[in-house]
Amino acid sequence: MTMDQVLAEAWRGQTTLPSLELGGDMSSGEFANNSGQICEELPCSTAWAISYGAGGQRKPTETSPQSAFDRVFAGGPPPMPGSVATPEPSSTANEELARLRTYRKSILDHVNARTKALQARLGKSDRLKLDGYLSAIRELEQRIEGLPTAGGGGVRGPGCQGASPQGELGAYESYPARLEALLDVTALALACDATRVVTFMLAEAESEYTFGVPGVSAGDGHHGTSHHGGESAKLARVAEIDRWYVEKVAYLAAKLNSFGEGTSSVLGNTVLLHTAEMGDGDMHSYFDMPVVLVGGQNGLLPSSRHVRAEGRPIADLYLSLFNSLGVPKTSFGNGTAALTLDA
Amino acid sequence: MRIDRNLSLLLVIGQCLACTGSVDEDKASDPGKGPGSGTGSEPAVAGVVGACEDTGDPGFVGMRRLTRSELNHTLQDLLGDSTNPADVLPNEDSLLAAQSAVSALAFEKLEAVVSAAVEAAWQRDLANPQISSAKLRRCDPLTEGAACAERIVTEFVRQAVRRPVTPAELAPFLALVQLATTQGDTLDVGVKLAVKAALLDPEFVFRVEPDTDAAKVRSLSAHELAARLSFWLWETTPDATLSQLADSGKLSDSAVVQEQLIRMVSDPRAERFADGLGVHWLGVSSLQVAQPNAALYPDFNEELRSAMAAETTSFFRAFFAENLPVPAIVNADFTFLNST
Repeated sequence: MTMDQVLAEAWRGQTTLPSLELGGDMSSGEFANNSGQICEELPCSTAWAISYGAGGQRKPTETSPQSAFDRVFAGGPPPMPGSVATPEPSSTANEELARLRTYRKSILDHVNARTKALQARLGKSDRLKLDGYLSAIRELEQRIEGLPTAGGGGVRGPGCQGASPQGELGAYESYPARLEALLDVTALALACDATRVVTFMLAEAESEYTFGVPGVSAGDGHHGTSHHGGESAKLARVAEIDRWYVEKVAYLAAKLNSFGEGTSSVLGNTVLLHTAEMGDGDMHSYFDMPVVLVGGQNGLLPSSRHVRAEGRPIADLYLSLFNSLGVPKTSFGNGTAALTLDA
Repeated sequence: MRIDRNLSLLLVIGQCLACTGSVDEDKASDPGKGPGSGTGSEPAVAGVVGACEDTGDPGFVGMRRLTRSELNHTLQDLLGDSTNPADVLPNEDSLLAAQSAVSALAFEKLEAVVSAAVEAAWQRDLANPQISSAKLRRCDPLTEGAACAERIVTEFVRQAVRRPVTPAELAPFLALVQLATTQGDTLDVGVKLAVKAALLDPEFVFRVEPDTDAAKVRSLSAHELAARLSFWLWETTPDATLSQLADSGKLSDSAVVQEQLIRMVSDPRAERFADGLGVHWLGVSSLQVAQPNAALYPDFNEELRSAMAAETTSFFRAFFAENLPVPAIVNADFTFLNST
């Protein structure tokens, strides 16, 4: 289970979605799956997803802004306190919603029972596949339970007020536009408290996006360039690409900062962790991984410092984040001692 | 058209399909261990032939879910839905990916797809004055009552799970019809609930040949054979003809299997097999997301993207239709161009 899912499990039930898994460029996904490995219960392509739930089940990366938006606001756009009067829901509308919910849950209960009955007739590997089906059914049941009734409950964090989530997502045919639309959905989901955990893959591990955007001219693909072999031209291009992606993180941070929440902002109550899966992509080295923490200025994180953590696993950082976020753990993966951030 | 030799290859495979299937879990985890093991019946055509001649064991076919393409075709056949509703599911079209578990995200979307598709099918049938040609609403539960509701659900569940169901298995589906009426809704609402449940059923979503004894080789049932044939050549659920032959037991006769193969290969739907080979074996669907270097390939555009995919599918359609030798895949002296 990855660190985001530890938090999602700890906070399950407090929001309509336990977590969101979003991502921009998944261009090599098909190749990754055609690499000759059989996808059994465990994921066969870690290049394609960064979030894994209980039992190592891969959480697929959602790349469509519209589809992500629809999931976040499945109960309809949130009412806008202060700006538009929330219509008083009629009791018939509430009864109707309750009945539809009963139906959906009854169907899922039925499918759950059928799946368990089928499991009893199967060999081991097929039984495990149906375990995944059962947990998908369970997750949807919990989601339906958390959906708002008309006019009650639902997504409506204080920051949501200025977020105008019923606005258009805009056109996003191009990858950069799609990436920004997905970051907009991320900001809305957090501001409206639809979820408290979002993982965002800016690009997948073997992205061959060729750019042609302000700041990075059209040229070789990202993954190919990252195997720079020390060539200065390639290193310069890698730097341009990295800058372009960091700008996306800044875009998200600015957006979160623009939504007020209590006496702070959504960013002030959020920890934004930006990292890469390697320290040196050319060598496939995971030493000296670059990590940036943004936000959390409302008492979650100390600010404006550079922490050297030589020889410490990144899981030690996750332990300190678990502490900051009120989900303390004594160990996680190869992490055994929380990293001190405010020294 | 020189279809004879091509057909004879399919006939040999057909006979093999009719013999036995085994469930061998060791092979499932090791794709390199035996011909036809692990990767579904479709990509293992040569392996199935070889295995039959050598050992009589066509190899393990692990449980896998329907691909998006198979779901689209099946929803078209069962509901008359020609909108490719499954396209919104996560893009995991390869047969290898289809052997992984269903994620929570995919299931959530599947539930929405199924729900919308059933509602739309019911509306379509309502608008159609010919009730005899209706896919789903084959009678009117509102005027004909519970017997009609039961008939629709019974027939639909049987189609969805691709085998006959016992009254005991059917009872929980009919209980969903009851649920709607106890909630004060009309019978048609209940029928749609049961139909939606059938389309989320594990025996619909997955292709499964149940077996608990890993050591034993067992015969395929006639219904399992019908499903293998249909998904292999047509990427869809067995049609009425195949289902009836399986119900009557006639599909155990290899002469009947041969007849069916000839019928199926002669049908335009067999082009899906040729198209699927490009998708599943050569990964042609990767073209949909490829991002060629604009500096090196400034002329690349969306038209070229689809033309490149069409070139490959056109080739494989010709490869099968003209019964070309296997080396033609690498050394054919022809290809396909569009006219513009």
